[in-house]
Amino acid sequence: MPPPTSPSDAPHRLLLLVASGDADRRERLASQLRDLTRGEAEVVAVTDAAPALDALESAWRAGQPVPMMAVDEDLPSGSGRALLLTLHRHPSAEATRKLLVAELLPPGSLNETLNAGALQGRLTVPWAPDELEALVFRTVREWALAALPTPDPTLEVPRDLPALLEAIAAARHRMLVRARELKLLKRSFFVNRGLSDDEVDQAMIAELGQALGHPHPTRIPAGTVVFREGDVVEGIWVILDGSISLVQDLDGEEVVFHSHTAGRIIGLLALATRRRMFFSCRADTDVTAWKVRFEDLDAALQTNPMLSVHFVTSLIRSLARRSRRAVDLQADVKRLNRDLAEERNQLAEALRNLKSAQTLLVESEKMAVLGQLVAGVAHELNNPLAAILRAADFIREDVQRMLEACGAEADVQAAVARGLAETPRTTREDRALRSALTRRLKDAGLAEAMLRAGVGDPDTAERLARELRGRDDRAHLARLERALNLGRAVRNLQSASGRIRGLVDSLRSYAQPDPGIQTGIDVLDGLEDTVRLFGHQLRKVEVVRDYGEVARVAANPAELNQIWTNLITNAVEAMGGEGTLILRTDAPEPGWVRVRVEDRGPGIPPDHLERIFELNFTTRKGRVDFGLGLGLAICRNLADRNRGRIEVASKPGCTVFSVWLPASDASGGRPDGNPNPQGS
Amino acid sequence: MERQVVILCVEDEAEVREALLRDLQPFSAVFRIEAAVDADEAREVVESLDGEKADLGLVLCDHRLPGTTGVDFLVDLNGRKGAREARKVLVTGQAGLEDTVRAVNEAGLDHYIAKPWTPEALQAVVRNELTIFVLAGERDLKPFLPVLDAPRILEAIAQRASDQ
Repeated sequence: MPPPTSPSDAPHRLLLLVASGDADRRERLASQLRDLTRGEAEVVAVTDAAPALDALESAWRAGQPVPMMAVDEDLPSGSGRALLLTLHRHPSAEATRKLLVAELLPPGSLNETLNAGALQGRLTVPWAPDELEALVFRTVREWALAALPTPDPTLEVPRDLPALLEAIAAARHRMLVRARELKLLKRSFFVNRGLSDDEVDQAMIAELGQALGHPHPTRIPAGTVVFREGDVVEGIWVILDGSISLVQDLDGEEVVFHSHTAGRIIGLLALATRRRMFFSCRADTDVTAWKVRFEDLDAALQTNPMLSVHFVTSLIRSLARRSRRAVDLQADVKRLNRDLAEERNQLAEALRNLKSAQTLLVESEKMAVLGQLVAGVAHELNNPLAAILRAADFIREDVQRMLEACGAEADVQAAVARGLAETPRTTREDRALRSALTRRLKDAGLAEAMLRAGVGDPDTAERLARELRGRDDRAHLARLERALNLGRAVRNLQSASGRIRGLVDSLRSYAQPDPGIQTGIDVLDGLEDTVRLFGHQLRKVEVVRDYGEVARVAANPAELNQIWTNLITNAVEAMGGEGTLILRTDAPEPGWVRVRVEDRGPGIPPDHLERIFELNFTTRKGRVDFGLGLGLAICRNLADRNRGRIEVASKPGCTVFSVWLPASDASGGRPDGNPNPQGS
Repeated sequence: MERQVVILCVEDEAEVREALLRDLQPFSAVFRIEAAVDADEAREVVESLDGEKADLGLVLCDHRLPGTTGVDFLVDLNGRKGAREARKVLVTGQAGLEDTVRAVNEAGLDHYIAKPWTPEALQAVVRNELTIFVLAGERDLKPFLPVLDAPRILEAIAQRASDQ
């Protein structure tokens, strides 16, 4: 881009001033100077000191250099020497070389002027033309060497005046251009500030093209890799058209770091820092570009300051874009990491939930299988049990009829009937009777036989002993004993098989195949079944029942049984197998039934209370206590499934688990799905 | 037989106790058979034996007892004078391994009979245990010949005769 030009910026011609009162000499000198300078300099001739001063000042104001002025000794207003001495102190004539034009002067008359430095040459009248030319050449050259701010070696070369003037003109032009450029450089980036990135790039490309002599651009097809990561760089690419991506290979995967942020200048960073290429550069589209060697770039930048400005601006802007992109990438990485961490946490949480769900599932599956097994066994037991119960009834009837039919002795028949009917004596009563009988009969063996034959009353025994004396007393007693035992055996058969029937019934209702949620369930049925089935665990436990009148509930009875079983066995375990277990039912909230299982165990520490419903919670370190942890987790799960809830309150000596279940009575009003009647 | 040898049967369920007692009848000709419903009563019986010229020879004990366990009772019994030598048998369907080990180690348990039992097995155990008891403690072995392990008792009688 050429420097801007304007009329006021045009370089002035040099001014040569002639001042003389003598018209003839004045015109001759001016005319000869015009000839000698061939129009390269302006020659102005004035008549006296005042117009000479005017001319100098006007040239100074206009910035027109005055290399030489020739002043005649004869001036209308005084001597030439006096004028020179005056001008010498005037800033407008400071740089001007001053000549005195005069005929031969008396010796010493120039001393003052010379000593003051106000006189640099002398033209003696009359002069020869070559003498004048030599004087002007020397004078202008001296001026040029002194006045041009940068000593310019080109001024040493010319041997004649026209060549000298030409060299001066060229030097002054260069000065002017440099001055303009310097003025621009001072404002460099601010000059470009108003330009878009694209405009800066275009300006840079224009300057560079000019500096390089408009080289032929290289065509790069799309997909070509211009530089590879790690390449040694010997020149740069300046992208004229098309786009380039900067990519890196990350573990075999090509990752694009810059595409629109790549910029026009590719490879400079590596070149400037003498490193290998950091990125690979690949043409995204067909690209036209200049390949610029380092030396060429360096020369162009040195000779063209505007190129430097645009080049640096373009480079800085592209680096700024890349840097912003790097920051964006960093921010992206941060965001991604955060999202990833969040996702990972969610996954871990999901995995935990899945594991919990799986454990519960396995456990409830186990319970279901066990329940089926129990229900199946209970069912299978029914047939033989029914046979046993009936058989016992039949034996009871038949035995008595048969003894009658066979004509058995009356006391034998009575013994059978007694065995069937009597409430068994306690072992203590037995012992007391035996010793009483032994005392009365004075025969331990007979007393024992009497007792076994069911003769307990001492008077009866004594009478019987008398009756039997002499007969086969022992044989009759043995018959009585058998008869009694027969009756007792049938009685025991009936009562024992009756107990089995009770257990089998409880088992069947406890382990019934999953019936789903049913209405009209009486919570007491399940509670009592559970107490009966786990009776062996409750032998040393006093079970207190505090059953308030409650509505029937809508629930899955099999699942309720599982809840009661877990709560009751937990309570018994907590009390170490002995103590008081209190079962309560009440309905403190309309539409809800509350079942409480209360134990008098040591209580649950407050910091454990929160967690006892968690899966696999254990009170023993390093050991999963399924009896407590899994059981209560299952209880909560089952309570939820039955649209109820379970809560716990505990203090030393008293732990209460409360199970809330929705009443199924229409009159009770269905709780509208709120499983939390206390609003806690 | 200057002193009676007692078989004590501890069982809280009446039907089961009666069945056990009936299965023990073959021994009643020679042994006195006592029954108790719980540990307290069983201890009373054991304490009363001293004044009645009777020795506790065998305890058949259920494991599940009201208020305690058979093993606890046997452990307690094993520490009592006059009961240490008695043969001890658990008759149960519900003793766990831990309890059983404790019964062997601390109560000197001699045998374990699982419910439901067969009368043959029960009687074989009782015969064997009582044989061991009388061989160890009784001077006059002849009365036991009809109900206990006759060959061993005869052998012992012969042995004692030759020792003298």
